[in-house]
Amino acid sequence: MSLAAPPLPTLLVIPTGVGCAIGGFAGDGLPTARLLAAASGCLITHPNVLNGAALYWSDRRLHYVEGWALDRFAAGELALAPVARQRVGLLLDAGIEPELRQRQIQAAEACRASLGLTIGPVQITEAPLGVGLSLGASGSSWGTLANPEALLRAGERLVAAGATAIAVVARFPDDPDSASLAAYRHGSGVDALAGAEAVISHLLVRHLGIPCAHAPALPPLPLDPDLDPRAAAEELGHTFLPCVLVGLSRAPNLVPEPTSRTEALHSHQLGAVVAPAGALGGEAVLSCAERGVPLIAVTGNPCLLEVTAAALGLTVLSAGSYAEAAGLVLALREGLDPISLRRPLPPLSAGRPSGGVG
Amino acid sequence: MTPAPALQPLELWLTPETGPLLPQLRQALAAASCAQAGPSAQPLRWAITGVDPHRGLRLEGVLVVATEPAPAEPTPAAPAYGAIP
Repeated sequence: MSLAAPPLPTLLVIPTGVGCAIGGFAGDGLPTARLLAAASGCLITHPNVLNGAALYWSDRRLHYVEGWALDRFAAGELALAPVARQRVGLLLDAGIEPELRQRQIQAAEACRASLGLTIGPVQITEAPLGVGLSLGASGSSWGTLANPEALLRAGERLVAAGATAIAVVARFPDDPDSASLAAYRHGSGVDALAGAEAVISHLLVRHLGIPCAHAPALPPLPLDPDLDPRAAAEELGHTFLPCVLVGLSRAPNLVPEPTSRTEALHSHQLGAVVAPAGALGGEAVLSCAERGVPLIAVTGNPCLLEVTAAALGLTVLSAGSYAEAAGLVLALREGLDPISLRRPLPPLSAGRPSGGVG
Repeated sequence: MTPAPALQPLELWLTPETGPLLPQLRQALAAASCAQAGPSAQPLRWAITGVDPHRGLRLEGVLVVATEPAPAEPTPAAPAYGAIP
């Protein structure tokens, strides 16, 4: 008989393209995700947290859910149905040069041969996608596509050919000498690619209703001896694709609610949501907070936003670090009132229950 | 065939009333999307990205806009959730 408490489905959100100190680089949120997966027994999070180019971590307690689907899950519009495997179709931007394209295909071949993943078919878009990068008024990154239609049509062809998930690789603009790229590689600023990546994957998931994630195609950068360790995963090889293929290989199916599928994970089962204390203004976090899911706000993960609980009128459990957040998740999983772990312990009073979030 | 989509950035400020925030945000986003890009526009991605004591909450997002009229009886493009309207 196991002495462990049942899993506490927990949502981890580290927003993309807003310069989070943890998780704002190349898969540097992964140790956090592993810790929270161990504490909760069931962690739902998004590719930005888990993708480290050629680096990844496969754990059945980690559920890889693209950001648009994550928002719909949190809003109670989608359930997540575990699968043994996905057939991951590979969607390549026609704007990728032949040699760089071949590198992507070889990365996929390596994942088939060395990891046993089910990959294919491969589709190339009918026209270059034309990715453009921008910064919003807040300084967060976003992007656009000159030809979103070509992306969606290639996705449709992959589904028709049997793909149950899609890894998309788009050619991103070269800008090796830019100040923003230098800042990112040296551990400051925002990931300029992340916002456009989110737009690409959101479009596909919204249109097709299956797990999708994105890896950029870029030529290797010149060696930088002062590279920040958090950005190092993107300097290891010719592609960023392996993490996406691994993540998608067991990504849960997206099932419209209401569903009676017993094996599916539903948003009403969520026991906690964890997010940076200054980035609480995303749809998934707000959906959970308004339904009373305990919200753990991590002050130790600063970003360029200052959208705090106080500004939004939210009640949160504050955690100084993800290690503390993991302790709070574990307390909730074990049925402990987190307030009982802190001092001073406020006395009971008429009209104010003990319990949970404070 | 679904209408060909196009993407546009969106920015708006909102001073929320008392009460649940999310419905107010969704309503404001829908209204701003329609005002900026017509009734086919829908937010693809958005977040509150700023707070100002005078102007309220700043929302930034990306809109999906259908650039052709939708067919009278659209056929779902995929077997599962949501096609572009």
